[in-house]
Amino acid sequence: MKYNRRNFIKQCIALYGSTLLLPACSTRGKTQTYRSFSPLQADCLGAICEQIIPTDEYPGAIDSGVVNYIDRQIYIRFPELKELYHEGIQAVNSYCTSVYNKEFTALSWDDQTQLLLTMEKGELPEEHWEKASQREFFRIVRRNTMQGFYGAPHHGGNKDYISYRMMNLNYPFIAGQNRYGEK
Amino acid sequence: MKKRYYILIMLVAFFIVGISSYVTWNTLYPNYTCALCHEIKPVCSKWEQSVHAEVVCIDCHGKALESVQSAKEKLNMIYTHFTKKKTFEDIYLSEKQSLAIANRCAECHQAELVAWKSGAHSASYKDIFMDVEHNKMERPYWDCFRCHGMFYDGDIDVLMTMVGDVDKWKIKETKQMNKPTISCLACHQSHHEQPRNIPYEKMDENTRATLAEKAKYPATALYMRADRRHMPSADLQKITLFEQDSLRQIIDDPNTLLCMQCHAPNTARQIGSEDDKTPTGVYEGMNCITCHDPHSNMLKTSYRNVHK
Repeated sequence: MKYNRRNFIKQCIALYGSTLLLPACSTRGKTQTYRSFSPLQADCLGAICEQIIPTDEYPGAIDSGVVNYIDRQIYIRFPELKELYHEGIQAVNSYCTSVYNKEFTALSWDDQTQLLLTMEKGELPEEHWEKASQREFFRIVRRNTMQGFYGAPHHGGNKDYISYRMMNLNYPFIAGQNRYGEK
Repeated sequence: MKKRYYILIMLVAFFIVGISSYVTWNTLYPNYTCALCHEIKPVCSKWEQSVHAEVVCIDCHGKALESVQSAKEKLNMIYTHFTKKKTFEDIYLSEKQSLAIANRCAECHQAELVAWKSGAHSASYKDIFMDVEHNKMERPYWDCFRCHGMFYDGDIDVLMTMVGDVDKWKIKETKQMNKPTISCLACHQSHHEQPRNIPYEKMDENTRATLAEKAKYPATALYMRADRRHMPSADLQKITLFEQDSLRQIIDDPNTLLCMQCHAPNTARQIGSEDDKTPTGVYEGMNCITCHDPHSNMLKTSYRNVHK
C-alpha cells in the first residue's frame, strides 16, 4: 500500500475504531474459564471429583470449587502435574469412547463409579494408559480433591467454607487475648 | 520535510486520540470498561448488587492520571492483565490501598468518620503495640493482627523490635506509628451484596414484604487476615457461650457476631473472659448496637452492669 496522508488517516481511524471491539472481550455470561484445563477437560475432571465427594445434603466437589483449586495449584505451584492430568483425562475419555461410545461425563452415575473403582485398582485396559499410570492418576485426583474440599478457601477450593460448615468447625477462630500475666 | 510533517501529525493524532479515549473510558459505564476484565468480573457483579452501585469505579479507585502512584498502579494492572493469567482470587489489598479506600469512604461518610475518630476503633499502631502495660502481660505476636492491623503487610517482627526491657520496645518505621489499625474495610466490604437503599415509598409490594428478611443481612463483613478476604456478617457462625457450666443465650444478630470476633472470650468460651463483652443478667440476649454506636463504640444510653 502506498504510504500517503490518506492511508495514514484511514489507518489511524481503523486503529481507533478497533477499540470499539473491546466489549467483545467481555466474559459476562460465559462459563468459568480455567488456566490449566480446557472447558471439556474441566468438565471431565469435575465429574471425577464429584464421584469422590458427591453432593448430598451438602454441596459436593464441583460446587465447592475443587476443579478451580486443582487448576490454581497446577498453574501456580505444581506445573509438573499438568501433563499427568491432561493425559489421565484423555485416557479416561478414550476408554469411555471405546467401550460406551460416549465421554465420561455422559455416563450414568453408576457407570462412572464402576469405572473409577476399576481405575483405582489399576485394572482398566492398559492400551489407554500408555502415557500415564491409572493408579497414580487416581491417587493424585483423590488427594487433590480432598485438599480442595477440606483446605483453606484462599487456595481456590472450599467455596464459601462449605466443608468447614459441614464439619461445624469454629471458623473464623474466635479467641480473645491470652493475658497470661493477668490474674 | 514530509517525514517531519507525518511525525507531527502522528504526535497530534496520538495526543487527541489518547485524551479522547481517556475521557471516554472514564465516562462510560463500568460494564463497558473495567468490568470487561475477567479478573474483576465477580467483584463487579457484587458491586452491581451493592448499595454503592451508583458510585462508579473511578469514584473510589481513582483515575489513572490522578497521580504518579495511580498511573503506576493502573499501568501495572494492564501489564498484569496481558502477561499473567490472574483471577480475582489473586487480587489482594495492601495496607496502603485499604487506607486509601478508607479515605474515599470518608468523603461521603463524614458522620461515621467523626464517630470513628472519637472512639477506640481508630487506635493507631502506637496506641496498640506501644502499650507498655499490656506488653508486660502479653508479648505482641502475629495473631494480634487478626484484630489490630489486619491489613498490615508484614509480620510482628517487621513491625517492631522487641529487644531488652518492654519499655524499650519500639515500632521500626516511624511512618507506621500513627496509621490506624482498624480502618473501614476491617468491618465493611465495599462490594458486598446488600439491599439497595431505595426509599420505602418507592418500593413495590414484594420488595416491602421482603424488607424485614433483607434487613437480616447488614452492610458489614469481617476482614479475615488469614484468608485475605471478607466474610459477610450474615455468614458468620453463631457461637455458644458458657457461664460456668450453664449455657447462655447469644442473640442471632450478624452485627453482634461481628463484634464478637474481636471482643472474644477465651477458648473455653466463658462469658466475661478475656475481651468478651456479652450482655448478661437482664440484658442477656441484647445485641451490641442497641447500646453502642458501632463506629465510636460509645454508649448511646446509660446502662449499668450490662457486662459481667
